[in-house]
Amino acid sequence: MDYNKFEDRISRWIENDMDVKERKEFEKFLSDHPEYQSKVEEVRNTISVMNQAPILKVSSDFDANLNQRLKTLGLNENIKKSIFGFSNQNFAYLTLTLGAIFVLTSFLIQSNSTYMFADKELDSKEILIPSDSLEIKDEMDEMKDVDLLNNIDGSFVNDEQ
Amino acid sequence: MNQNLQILSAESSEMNSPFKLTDEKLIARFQDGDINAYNELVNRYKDRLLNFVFRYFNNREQAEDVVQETLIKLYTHASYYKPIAKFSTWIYTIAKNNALTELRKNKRKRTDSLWTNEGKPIDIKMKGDSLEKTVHNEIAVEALNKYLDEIPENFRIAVVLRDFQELSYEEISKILEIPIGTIKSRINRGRIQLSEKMKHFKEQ
Repeated sequence: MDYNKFEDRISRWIENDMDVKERKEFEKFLSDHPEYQSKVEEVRNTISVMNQAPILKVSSDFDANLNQRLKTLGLNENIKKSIFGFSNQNFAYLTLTLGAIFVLTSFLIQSNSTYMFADKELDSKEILIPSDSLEIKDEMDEMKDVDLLNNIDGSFVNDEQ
Repeated sequence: MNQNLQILSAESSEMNSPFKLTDEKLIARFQDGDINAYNELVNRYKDRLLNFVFRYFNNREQAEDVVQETLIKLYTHASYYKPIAKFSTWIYTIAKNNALTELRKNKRKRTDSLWTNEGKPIDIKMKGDSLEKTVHNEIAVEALNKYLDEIPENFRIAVVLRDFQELSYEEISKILEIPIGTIKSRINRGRIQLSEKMKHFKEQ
């Protein structure tokens, strides 16, 4: 291993991101060149300082400013609200379920009524047997004759007037 | 919504409980219309994004502006998030793209101001260190921030994502859209350059 390879692997060695063979090779180089051990320590210390660095915090009016910007852009209105206490997704599921129940119920009702009407149709056919039909036809003809006579009488009276 | 933001910061909710919801669950809730989930994501990410974006500008005001743009995009483009990627990867990618757009748009040169002048850190996390060590660390951090500014941007951003934001190599690779091997190499080079500068700082 040369110095460049050693330098390329410092972070990986510190973070234990090496296989056994690489680690042994790296550690052998370090023991052969103790002058480079300080290099590893410097990198390790730098990482440590960064890990302990203070956290920069947003200013106290950050939330208010963000809120104001959202308001200015009219984005508050875009947020999807819950519907009747259900989230949008749950409301959609509920609607779909109710819709499916409605379609199924409608289908069942329609199927039942088809059978019922079919029965009624059958009943009416049984009533309208040929003999009955003839009787009704005769009765209707008689009624037509009476109407005709009434009209004739009426027109006669009118003509006289 | 202002109310919601205030409520969230004041009250403990299910989202703030020890059994916190994951970011991915929160974005799913927000996609379903839960505004509190959005607020929680804002609370979780506003500082982290600021610390990341700040490295592009070294200017607090600009950095905050870009973070706000990012969080507005989170609001308007939430439906674009698909749970195939981690939420953090997605939001950092948006922040990175916004930062780059802003840099291109303004063609602003990076100022010479240091973090200590422009964006004085408010919250310092030191774990049970002595005063002497704390002061020493503060000075070291100040120097580090100055030197970070001096190394090439592609090294700096990768180092920041790894050592300040503590993201995995895989996440960084996805955010920066660069192969993982290149990311490892950039981080290593960045760290070595920083450590060399820090060495000179110690010797001064």
